[in-house]
Amino acid sequence: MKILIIEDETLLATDIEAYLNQSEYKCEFAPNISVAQDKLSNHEYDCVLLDLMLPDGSGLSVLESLKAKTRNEGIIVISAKNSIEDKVKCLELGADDYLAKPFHQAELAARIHSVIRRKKFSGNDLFRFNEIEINLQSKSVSVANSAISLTRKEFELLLFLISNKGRVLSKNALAEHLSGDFADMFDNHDFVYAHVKNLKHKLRQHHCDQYLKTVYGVGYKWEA
Amino acid sequence: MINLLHKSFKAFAIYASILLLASIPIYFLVVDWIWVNEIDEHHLHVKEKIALQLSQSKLDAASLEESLAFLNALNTGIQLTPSARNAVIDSNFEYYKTPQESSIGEEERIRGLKSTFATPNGNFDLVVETSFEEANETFLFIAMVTFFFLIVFVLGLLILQNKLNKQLWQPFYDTLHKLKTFDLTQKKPLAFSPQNIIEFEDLNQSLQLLTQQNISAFQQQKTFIENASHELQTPIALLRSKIDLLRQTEAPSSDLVDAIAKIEPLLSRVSRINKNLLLLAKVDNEQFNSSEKLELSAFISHSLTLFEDYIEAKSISVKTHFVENTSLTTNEFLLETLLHNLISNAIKYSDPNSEIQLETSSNGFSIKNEGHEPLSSEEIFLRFKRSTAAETGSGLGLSIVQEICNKYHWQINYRFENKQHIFAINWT
Repeated sequence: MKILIIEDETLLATDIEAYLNQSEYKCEFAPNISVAQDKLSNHEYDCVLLDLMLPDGSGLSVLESLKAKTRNEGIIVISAKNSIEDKVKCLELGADDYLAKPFHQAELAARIHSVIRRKKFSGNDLFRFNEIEINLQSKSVSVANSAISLTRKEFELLLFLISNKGRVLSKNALAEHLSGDFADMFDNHDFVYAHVKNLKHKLRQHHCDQYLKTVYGVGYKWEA
Repeated sequence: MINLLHKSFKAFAIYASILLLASIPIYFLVVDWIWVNEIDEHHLHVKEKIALQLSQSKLDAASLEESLAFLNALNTGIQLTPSARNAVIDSNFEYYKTPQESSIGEEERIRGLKSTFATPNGNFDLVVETSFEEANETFLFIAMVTFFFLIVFVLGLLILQNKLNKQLWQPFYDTLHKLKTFDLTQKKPLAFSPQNIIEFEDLNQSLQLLTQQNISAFQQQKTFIENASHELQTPIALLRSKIDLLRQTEAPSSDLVDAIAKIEPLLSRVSRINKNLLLLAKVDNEQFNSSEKLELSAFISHSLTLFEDYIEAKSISVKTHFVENTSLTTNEFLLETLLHNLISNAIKYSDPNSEIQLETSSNGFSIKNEGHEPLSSEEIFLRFKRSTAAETGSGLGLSIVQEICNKYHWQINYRFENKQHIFAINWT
């Protein structure tokens, strides 16, 4: 999968690349609009990460030109501006998702995963990981063809973990994914542990391999 | 404390009283002096006339004596008798007649002239007496007239005061009223209608300038906070991504694990403070001016769903009481922010197994959570004023709530009743 990161903060761009699974994703960088337009006119990408505030103008112009050309890239806007108007405007201009800075890399990875899934495999709601089959439409999961009943949160958690396979995720990142942006108002995210425990238990009951590991003191990891 | 107009009236009234009371003895002395002088002058005239008549008289001694006896018997206040003495200098005298001595039965004040003068018809003794106003009566009449005018003056002053001064000071009271209603957060400098009195116009212009400067200083402070927190967004984002990468370290040492675990909550807090500062600076910006009709109870339910894990983790029971149709026209993001802040606060500061109550009414809503001690209702909405030593939270949540309420002119109140913290918001 090819990803174009349009972001003038090169440190952040290289961090995003470093976090994403390199066997799966290939990242290219554009620090400004002109480089971005140049790259977009010569190459096709699976996903474009777009910062709105760029040295030579607003990222909205990139959105507009992509929309005008009816391109197929999934577009995720990453912006320091966290306002509903901005978000609505970006989504209207054809962005697939909008993520406010600062974000957890895990959250971005999950969004990229989800956008590419929708764009690339449109019409196909099934998503597999080894013996686990996830139906995104009906939000149901089965292990080796036997259905598991998961709560909504457990389902979200499973999808989030698989989207970040091979990466250690903090309790905070999981809490924010499940409870939204306001999770950082709380100091105690112990409920994440309860959800993880339940999910592990249900998977074990269905003789699923133990992919979900607790990394002591750091967080959780889905071992690929 | 006394009213400005009252104070000036009091001063005028006291001055007028002193002046008029002090004038009473002076008037009296002047009037009395005039009396005495006039009477003395009159007596001299009488004397000169009599002396002249006597000098030109062709009467013989017998008929003169008869005429004098007749004149003296008339008791006109003139006693003229032939004298053997030589002429002496005239002398004035004054005495009081008791009521018994007086022909009119009252005490009388008498002024007289005693004279001995020479004529070709011989020397004569003359006593001319005139009864005139007693000193105490003069004094009394003057005092009465003065008191009368004093009362008329003070009453007149009072009426003039009420009419003229009130009219005169009206612009001042208008200005005062406008100044009282001035609200910095409304960002409207005071506007006054032009005055034709220099001092008032000057006052109004100074106030207008002052409020304008205040507003711009307030605005600059907001812009500064907005810019500063905006600049901080990127470094915070970078820090967060560095931590995310650090967490991926294969077989991390326990020191690293420890460090990451300690940095994470701090970073969350910095990030939350910064987000809230940015929001606080922007609440009354145009970007939140769009509004639509929103169903309050739906937003509360959404907020509760979002935080259900935190509610369950503390085994808190949430009781909601919604009345139908609690729609209000406002900005979606701000309403959501307000509710998230109030509800997350209630959850955070609740004891495990306690209860949170949420109620809506047709013009407001309230949230109650159990507590042990009342919070200071004066300080609770202040920025960075945290009620407990808890290390989480931005210390800005309630300031944001208040700022949002201010924007829409909603009333927010905190009270502590029956061991419950109650936050109530009302709109009308």
